[in-house]
Amino acid sequence: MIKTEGLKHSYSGEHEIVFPDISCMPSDKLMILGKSGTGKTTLLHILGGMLYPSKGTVNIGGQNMYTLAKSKLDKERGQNIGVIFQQSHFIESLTVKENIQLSLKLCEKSSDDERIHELLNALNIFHKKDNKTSQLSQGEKQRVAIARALIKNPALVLADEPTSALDDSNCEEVLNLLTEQSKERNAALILVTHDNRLKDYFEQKIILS
Amino acid sequence: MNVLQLAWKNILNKPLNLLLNLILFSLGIGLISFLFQLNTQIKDKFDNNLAGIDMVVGAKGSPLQMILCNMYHIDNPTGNININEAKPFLNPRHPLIKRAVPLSLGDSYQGYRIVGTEHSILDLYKGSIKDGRLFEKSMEAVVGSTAAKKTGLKLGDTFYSSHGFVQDDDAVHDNVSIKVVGILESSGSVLDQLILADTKTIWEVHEHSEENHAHSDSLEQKEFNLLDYPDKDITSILVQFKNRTNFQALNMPRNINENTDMQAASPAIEINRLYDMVGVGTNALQILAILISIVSAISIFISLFSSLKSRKYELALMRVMGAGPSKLFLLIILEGLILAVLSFILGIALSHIAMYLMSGSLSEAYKYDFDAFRFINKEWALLALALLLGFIASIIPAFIAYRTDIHQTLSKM
Repeated sequence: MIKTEGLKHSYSGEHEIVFPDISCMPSDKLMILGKSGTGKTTLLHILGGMLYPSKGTVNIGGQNMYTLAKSKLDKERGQNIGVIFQQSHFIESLTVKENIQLSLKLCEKSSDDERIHELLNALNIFHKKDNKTSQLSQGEKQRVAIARALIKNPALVLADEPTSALDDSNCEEVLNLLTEQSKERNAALILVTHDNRLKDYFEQKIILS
Repeated sequence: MNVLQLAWKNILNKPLNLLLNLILFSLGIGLISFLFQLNTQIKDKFDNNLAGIDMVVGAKGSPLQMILCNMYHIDNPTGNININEAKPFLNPRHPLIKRAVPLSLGDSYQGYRIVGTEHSILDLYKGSIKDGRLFEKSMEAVVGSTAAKKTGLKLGDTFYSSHGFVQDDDAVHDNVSIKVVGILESSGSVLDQLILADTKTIWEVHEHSEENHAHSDSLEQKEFNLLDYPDKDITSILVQFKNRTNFQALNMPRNINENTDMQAASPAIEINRLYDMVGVGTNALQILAILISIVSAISIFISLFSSLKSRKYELALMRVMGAGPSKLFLLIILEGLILAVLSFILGIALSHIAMYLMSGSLSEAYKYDFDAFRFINKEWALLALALLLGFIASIIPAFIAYRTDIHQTLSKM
């Protein structure tokens, strides 16, 4: 589970953004909505152990993330948090499958071909497993990004505008896969977006302003 | 998929950059290695053939030429000396001289020099007979191992010598044939490249052609001794002193140069003079090779550095996926080191291939067999140099990668 308390952030003394407290149980789905400039990405990075907040705590699975030593934080982030970005970036020199294997290697989890194939199959991307990621379409890329985030069975999945680069049909498919697969793995899913198509998709919503 | 494999795939992903870096770097390494090879093998050859010779006595002229001609057989004689004048040095009872080997040059067979001398030359170069026996009378010859291999001369063969060093049909002494009675074991010295006969053989070959059998009888004696022919000439004498630090021995070359029509020179001094002269050329080449290596290190630096720009999201992503900063540092360093190792392997291969291709013409020019597949310790030092350059080239990009800030990089997507 994930729990935040009194999160505030300001960039080098500029005006402080105050974030509402968040609490998510395993398998919960939470949507964070907000116009650009309201600190959506900042919040997501704080939740994901990528940015030290000016104030407040982030608690994931009982660990207070920002009191950990830096190397421990790197490890916690790798093992417990899967992140999907608006524009998926991959290691260009690697194939789809190798990218997924690398994500396991970097968080020191063992690589299991069968599990990888299963997940790629479920995401309907198995046939592209030996392609370089530059050869994929946007929709395919997002599905690979989902596979990469979920293969390590994280406690928390963070998605930053995962659908904004997709057309309507791809948008729906990607979103369905994301929620299904997160639920199957008992992972809490937090989705940050300003995409109006998603508005009614999640029950739990936080609106930043 | 570990960091090393990832570094490898990253390098392969940019084939043109890889090619440019490999060509530059391996060219530098290859050139240095080639110079090492050439220097070491030439120096070894000169050192091997010093053979404990302390002094060479020959006709007046360039002392270096005299040494190159009489010890290394890569130049023409300075002229001849009269036996009468050389007599004191040929005397076996000379108090300072341990061994004196007379040489008579001037003829060759298929580019391999025929040397008129005595059996003692084998002691000088530690040569030994492999097949047959030593020459016992005139018109008998013993052939060095390389000369035998290249000319195809075998025991019992006869051949005609030709005047000078190069094969020239007009200069063949085709009225007197020389018989092969022995083949020498390979000794790694200049003996391998020579055809040995007694001094008389050289005289006879020339007198036959010049005077048509006129003197042949006068040379047919049972016990041949050079000192019995004071009016004849030889080319030089190779001298070993009994004690080379003896004061009188040290002064002997100067005495000869000042008081006789002959000249004496110390091989060690002349060869060092040669190193000094040729050294300038190899030094310039070495500097060029080092410059190429530095340029290639800069080229690796630039390609790693510019690749960071397009890979900054990849690097941030690796951080998101749990990689610590030191892993990114390691990744970039490994990319530099892999390039260095590949270049080293390619460079060494290039230099040995070049050595192999050139060994034919080199062995003609230097009368010495070059070994293309000999590896010298200095080449391992080159591996260290290559790794060092690879490391230096990648350390700044690696440090930039180390400092990748996830939030800053990713919020600019």
